[in-house]
Amino acid sequence: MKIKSFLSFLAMLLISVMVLSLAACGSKDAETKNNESGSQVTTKATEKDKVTEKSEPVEVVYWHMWGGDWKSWIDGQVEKFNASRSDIKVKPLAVTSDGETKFIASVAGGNPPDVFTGWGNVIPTWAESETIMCLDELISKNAPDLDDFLYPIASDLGKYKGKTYCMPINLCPLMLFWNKDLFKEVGLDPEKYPVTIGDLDAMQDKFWKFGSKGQIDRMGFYPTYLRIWVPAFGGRFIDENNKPTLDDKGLLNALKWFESFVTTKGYSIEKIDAFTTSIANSAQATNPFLTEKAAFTVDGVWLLTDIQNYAPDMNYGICPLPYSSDGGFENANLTMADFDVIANGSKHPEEAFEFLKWMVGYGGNEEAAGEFVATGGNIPAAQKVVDSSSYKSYLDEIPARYEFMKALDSENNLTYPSVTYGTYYMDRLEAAEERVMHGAQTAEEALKQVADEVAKEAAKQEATN
Amino acid sequence: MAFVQGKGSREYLIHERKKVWYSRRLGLAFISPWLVGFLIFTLYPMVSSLYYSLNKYNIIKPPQWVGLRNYIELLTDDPLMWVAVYNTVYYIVFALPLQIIVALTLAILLNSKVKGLAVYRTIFYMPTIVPAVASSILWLWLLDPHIGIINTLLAAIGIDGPGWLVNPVWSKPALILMSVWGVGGDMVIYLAALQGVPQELYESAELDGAKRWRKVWHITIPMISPAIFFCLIMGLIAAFQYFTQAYVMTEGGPMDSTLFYSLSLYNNAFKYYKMGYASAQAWVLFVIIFCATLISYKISGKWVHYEGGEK
Repeated sequence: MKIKSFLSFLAMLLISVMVLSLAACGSKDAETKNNESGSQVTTKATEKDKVTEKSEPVEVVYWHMWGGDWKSWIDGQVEKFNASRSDIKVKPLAVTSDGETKFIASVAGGNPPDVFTGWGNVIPTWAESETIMCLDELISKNAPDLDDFLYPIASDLGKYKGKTYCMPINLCPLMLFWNKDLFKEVGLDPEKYPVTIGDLDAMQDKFWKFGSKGQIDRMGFYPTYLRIWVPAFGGRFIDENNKPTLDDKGLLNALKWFESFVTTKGYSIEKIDAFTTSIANSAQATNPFLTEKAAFTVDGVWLLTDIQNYAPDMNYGICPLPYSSDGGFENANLTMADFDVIANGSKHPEEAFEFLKWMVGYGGNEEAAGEFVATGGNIPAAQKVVDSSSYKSYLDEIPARYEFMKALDSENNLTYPSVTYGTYYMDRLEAAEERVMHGAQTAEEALKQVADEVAKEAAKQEATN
Repeated sequence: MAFVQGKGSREYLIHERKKVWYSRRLGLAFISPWLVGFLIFTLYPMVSSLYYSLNKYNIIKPPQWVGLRNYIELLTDDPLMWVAVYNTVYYIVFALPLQIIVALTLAILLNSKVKGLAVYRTIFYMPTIVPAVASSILWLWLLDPHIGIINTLLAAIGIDGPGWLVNPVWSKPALILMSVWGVGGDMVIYLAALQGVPQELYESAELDGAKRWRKVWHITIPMISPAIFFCLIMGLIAAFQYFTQAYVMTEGGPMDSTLFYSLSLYNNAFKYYKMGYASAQAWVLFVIIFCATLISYKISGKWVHYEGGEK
């Protein structure tokens, strides 16, 4: 009998532990619900905030996806922001894996961070699903001339259907790098870089070297990622009415140029794939451009740091992407960016926006932003930040960095298609590129298929939206 | 006073029932931690995914009822779905028999009396305890077309190795090859089953003049067929859910040649945020696995041999 009562006591204990832990989880939800429900409660809360403002700063929760060295960089910068403000305290948290999914889940769960930094092609979907706040109201109240402050392409990057949803903080233009020593070796003028696609085709042909088993030992140039070349061919992804433009001449020309590498130029895709994906050539330090196994490469400003670290003696030049003389645009980039968003359901959007202003350098924050962007090795979204003394000294450190600044103000820059099926669109375009390069389809056939796929997806989304 | 009455009386039955319920309650109370966990973390998500599969749902906006549209679209209007099904079936058809044969061969070899047997068993089992992501990264190196050990060895005997993971023709065989590396778990099960095969069967077969191969075919395999069947079913279910390696190593490429069913499901859910559609995909996969398992069971009667003749 004694044992039995002990057993039932144990069982009851287990049950109560379970129930209590569930109740604890539940009460948190209840709390957040209370916060949301009823304007009375909210006003009371804000009044309370106002009273405590003098002594206690408002806490802004900030999620980002930077890990490793980047995390210590952002932590240090946030620390500087906090030191500059007595009224706001930003609490950073690195959400390095599946950050975007976790952010969405936190918004759905009603307890999101105030600010999130991402870089995926997500703004249209997040705007449409009301995951993030439209910033227009905050902008007109706190940063009325933000549009003039930002580079035009940065201002475009923040918008979806004419409204601003995010604040681009770092721009990532891509440039063509060329190796001057290799130019001399094959008898080219090392200072004369390719301006048009025709120039590039003619030059790059001279560099290829093959080993005894036919493997590539050195390559001239081989294009990857169709989308980044589309602006240089005068192409676009969507028209003024946000409809996909897969019959676009520039898009087709770009893909045809890609195709020419495996058809008319006659390189073996298998050898190229083996070369480019081999770990011997794809690690940061073994980038074929750094090991002089490729005469050209297309890359961002971060490659300059890699060159400094891994190939400090290399003689290289930087120029805008060559453009097609058949209707292409010079100095045209598919511009991507790191951006900040404010979550729908943020408890302190005003304070969060102050932090956004600081990061982008608006409203007297140019110097702080200059340092923030420079220490991260990034490119600012506004000319005033580029001109700040803190950023200038960073540019002077490696003068080649100035070349990248030329890409920012170009009116030929393009952004990712700002539509909810943008990720799908880009994925299918990449699949088309693969099919063409593997000889499974011609450029025309491949684009036709993407057109069908994307049209179907677009129709589906419109049907239910 | 209650005990005065006979066994058949109403009071006695109530008393008995109370006793049964008391112990039942106690049992339930003890398994309640598991029970609660099961209800919250397994049953509830399953039921809600069934509900979401009938909706358009992107996590943020409330689900929008679309009836069977996700299922209809999935089965009639999604070419990538059939690519994924083809890749998955291809993988199963080649990887599963290969895994069984290799694991069984290893088990039979390691069941003999050789010096240092424990060491060999450990060596062959070891890959199983390596996390899938770590072994995927390792195999990226092994399969590397330029500096990988596999192509280096092939080159040594005069074969120009393929690009493996970058070649749409060779990417699936590369993953199948890699799957054989992890058969240690099955091997241990076969080893245990082999220990249970009565020696006298072999002895009498030897008296009848049976050679090694005949003994394997007529005694070993029938005697351990329940173990083979178990590994087949588990392998089948695992193969239908094949995900990690493809996600880490190829992300579905090149040319969608390694876009397996679970990977396509993952893409729809977490890349395109089509949770309703992905839930429908999950339920279709559930039905497929259920049918495949059922068919395997039905066929099993013909070749799986249980001692004592029970099924």
